[in-house]
This record gives sequence, C-alpha cells and structure tokens, in this order.
Amino acid sequence: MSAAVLHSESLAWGYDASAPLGRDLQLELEPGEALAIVGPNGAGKSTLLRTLAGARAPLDGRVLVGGQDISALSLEQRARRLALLPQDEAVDLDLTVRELVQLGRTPYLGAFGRLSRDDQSAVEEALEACELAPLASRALGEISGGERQRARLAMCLAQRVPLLLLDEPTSHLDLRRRYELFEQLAALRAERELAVVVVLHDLVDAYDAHDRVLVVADGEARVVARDDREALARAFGVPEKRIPV
Amino acid sequence: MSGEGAARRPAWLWTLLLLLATAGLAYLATAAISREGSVALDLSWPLRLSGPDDLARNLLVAWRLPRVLASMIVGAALSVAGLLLQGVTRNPLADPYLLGISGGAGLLVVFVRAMVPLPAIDWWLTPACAFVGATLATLVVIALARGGPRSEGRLTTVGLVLAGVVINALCAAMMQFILARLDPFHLRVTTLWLAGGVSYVAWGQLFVIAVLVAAAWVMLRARAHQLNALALGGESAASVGVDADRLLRQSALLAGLLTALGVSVAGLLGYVGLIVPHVVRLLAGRDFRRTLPLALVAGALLMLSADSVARLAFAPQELPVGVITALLGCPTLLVLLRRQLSGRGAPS
Repeated sequence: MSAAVLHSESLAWGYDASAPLGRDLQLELEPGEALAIVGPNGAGKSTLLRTLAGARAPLDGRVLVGGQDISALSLEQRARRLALLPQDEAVDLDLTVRELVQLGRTPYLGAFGRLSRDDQSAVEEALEACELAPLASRALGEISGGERQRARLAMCLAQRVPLLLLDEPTSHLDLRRRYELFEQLAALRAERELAVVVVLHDLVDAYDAHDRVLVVADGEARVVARDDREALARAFGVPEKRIPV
Repeated sequence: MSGEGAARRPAWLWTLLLLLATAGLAYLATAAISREGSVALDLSWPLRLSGPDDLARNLLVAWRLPRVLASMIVGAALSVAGLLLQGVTRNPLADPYLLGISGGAGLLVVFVRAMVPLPAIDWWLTPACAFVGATLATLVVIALARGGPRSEGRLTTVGLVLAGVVINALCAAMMQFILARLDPFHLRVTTLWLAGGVSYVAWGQLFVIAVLVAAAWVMLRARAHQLNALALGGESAASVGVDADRLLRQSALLAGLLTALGVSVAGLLGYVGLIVPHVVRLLAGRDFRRTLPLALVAGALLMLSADSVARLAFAPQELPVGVITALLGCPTLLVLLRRQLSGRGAPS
C-alpha cells in the first residue's frame, strides 16, 4: 500500500482553542480516493478544508501531506503537494483564462519566472482537460460563472499535485456541468491517482461521486454511511424523510 | 480594457520601439534644446569626429546631458513605482503622487532642509530622507485603505483615494508650516524644488540614483511572476506558493525607494506613475514579466518628452515639468475614476 496522501492526527480546528469547531479528527486519504465533506451551514466545513490545506493552523493535532507535517513546509513546497480551490472568487476579472491557468505554475518557476517547456505543457494539458482551449484568450470577466469555475479548477490542475482540495466547486454550476465536473474528477482520480477532498452542500452529489462522506456537525466530524439516515437527519437537524439519499 | 492578447503586438517589440524613440529624443533634446534658450549646441560633432568648442562642451557635460538622463531616470522610476503600486493594491488608481507617497517624501526633505544648513546637504541626505518619508507614507496609506479580512488584499478605491487625500493634506500643511519659517534664500530653493522638475543634477548623484533604480527594478523583475499571482487574491496566491503579505511589504519598500529617488531629483512630480502603467497595460497586457521592462522605457520617454516641452514651449522661459504632467494626468485620472465608479474597471 502506498503512503497516505493526506493524514490527520487528533486534529482540532476552528478559531478559538477553547471552543473548536471540531476535534479529534483522524483521517487518512489514499491516492485516487475521494472524500466529500458535508454539514449544515456554519459547522466549519470550509475551516476544516483550510486547516487540511495548511492555510489555517490547527488548534490541536497535526496534518501530514505525503508523510510530511504541513506546518513545516514552506508555502511553495505546500503548493507543489496540494492545490486548494477556495470558495470566494476574488480573482481579477481582466486576467485571461490562460493567464489564470499559468499562475498554477508559480510554485515551480525560478527567479525571473520563465515558463519551461514542462510548465507550458502542464498549462495546455489543464486547459485541455477542462475543455477551455477555445476560451484560453478570453478575459475572465467575459465568460460565464461556470466557465470561470472550470478555469479556476484548471489552474489547480496545472499545479500537477497529488491532492486537490475544493471548497464548494459546484456552486456556480448547472446540473450538467456538475455531472461533468464529477466525471472529470473521477477520470483524474483513475488516471493520475489524484486524491480529492470536496466540500459540498448536495448530499446526493456527495454520496454518488465520492468514496467516503465526512459529516461535520455539532463540533465533531465523522464518516457516515449512506444508509445511516438517522445520523444524517440528526446532523442536519431535519426529519429523516427530508434526507434525499 | 480586456486581456485579449491575440491581436496585440508582442511586448518586446513595443519595448524596442519606445527604446528607439527615447534614444532619438534624448539625442535631440541634448543637441537642439538649449537650457536658457540662448545657446544652441551643434551636436553633430560626434559624427564629424571633431570636438566642440569649450563652452559647448561645458554646457553639454555639466547641464544638458545630466538633465536629459535625469529626466529619463525619474520617469522610469516613477512609472515602475506606479505599476507596482497598482499591482499590489489591485487598484488602477494608485499613483505615488495621488497616494501621498511623494508628499511624505517631500515633507521629510523639506524638514531636513530647514534643519540643516544647505551646503551640508550631501547628495545622499535628500534621497535618504525622501526614502524614509515615502516608505512611511506607503505603509500608512495601505494600512488605512485596507478593508476587512474578507477584502482579499484588494484595497478599495474610496479607501485609497481618501487615505491619499488625508496624507497629502497633512504633508502639505506641515510643509507650509516649515516653509513659513524659512529664510528667503532657503524658501526660494525649496519652493523651486517642490514645484517639480529636473534642473540641475550632479553626475555623482545621477550615478547613484541610476544604480539604485536599476537595482530596485531587477529585484522587482525577479519577483514578477509572484506579483502576477496577487491578481488571485491573498488566499489563492498562498495556494500557489506566494506569501501575499510579505510581497506587499517588500513592494511597499521598493515603491517607496523608487518614488523617493524620483522625488529627490525632481520634487513633487505627479501623474507619471498613473499614466504610464495604463498605457503599458494597454500595449502589453498585465503580466509583470512584460510590463516591467515596458514601463521603464515608456516612463523615460514620457518624462523626457514632458521636460522637452517644458523647456521649448515658451522658450526662453521654462515651464515647471509638473504642469505638463498634470495637464496630461488630470484628464487620465478623470476617465479612470469614471470607469471605476461606473463599474467598468476592475471591481473594487
């Protein structure tokens, strides 16, 4: 068995050490595996994802990426091991799609930032994978929200990392684009053994497209099986008949 | 302004074209434009391989050549500072003069000139004070204009402009206070310097400033790809390995240095750092790897042109160069402001 891509030990996350959003998370993610994180609003899903990505320090415990403690890695080393797609779209809209995807190569560039042939091919491959080649020279402000989301994903792919962390990547996508996104992620997992962690709202998407589903609610996070409707109902605070899976 | 790149001429071609234009104008400005309007130099002598007469040589070496070179260096420094500030604040209205950075530099220089007798003001004291003042002003403006934690490092237009207004007003008031207490000779020298423009520059000073501007530019060029990543916002920049906060601090220092070098030679010269970056992005897009060389050359060309016009338009009388740049800059600012407020520029 190959080493875990992502591993957490008694992880506590949140903003306040005296009242963490969740604690004692033991997690292990193998290459090619997909994990969905679901839970009610404000339960700390995004904060957990950021903590797993090293963008926030854990309140307790630690996160290992490829066997190395993430807090010991420099930003650049981290960016060569994992890609994080945050939820907020703060990117400047006058960037072109290609310029955005090229930024995914930033952690690999030396001083003066010349793109090598390798960098170029990673960019073209990512554009191709997200079907963005025809839009490559369009500005982000001139394309639809869904296309923009794909462009941001392509930037993460251009990083050529073994681990992808996505925060609500489906939020601007219609049904078909959502389906296509998960198909594409499945293909990447199969071809490149890419491991993905995805924060989602939709329980059907979570169970259909992922190996495991981590439910975050009431200060704890645990893997819940699809048929455990009682646990899901309790986590979301709704009657069992409202659980769609 | 869209990022469409297909129909655009390559950036290196623009850089080369502007470089040639700058060189040509520099030769003309040195040769044909006399400083006081009374002595026209015949600069065809390098072609004829015979030396000019002593008066011409003295004028050339002591006055014209340094002035032409200083104009170019000041223009380049202010343009690169503006390009950098617009990049790191993610706001197209940033300019060393509008943000009060030049004002901060000016204030400290005026203060030291009031405290220290003139001959003691060495070639290094003015740039050093300007540097301290400019860097302080940059840090204060960025701190004031910073939005909440969700602003993603994008400083709002209103925040920046208001912070600039406050810093400028404060610096102007304090400068007036100091000026009012100067004796007539100091007052004359200082007011001339403040009006903006290159009059006399010593070769030593010119050399030091050229080296510093070049060094700052190389440091920026080495970080160009990281500066590009700031367009993603702080969190995504971090996820491609760029520490946005550290880059912002380094940039504030370098923008402060470049502005200070410009101010120490040419006084409070506005709008160069506003106009040039916009033209440059129009020609070459927004990639710092392409815009940094172009801004250097375009800034030199603009300042050299402005300085030549200032000398020629009402010869033998001279206009302050600041008047020319303001005449160009104010309409530019109005257009940009309108675009920002109607939401057609970058979001703020």
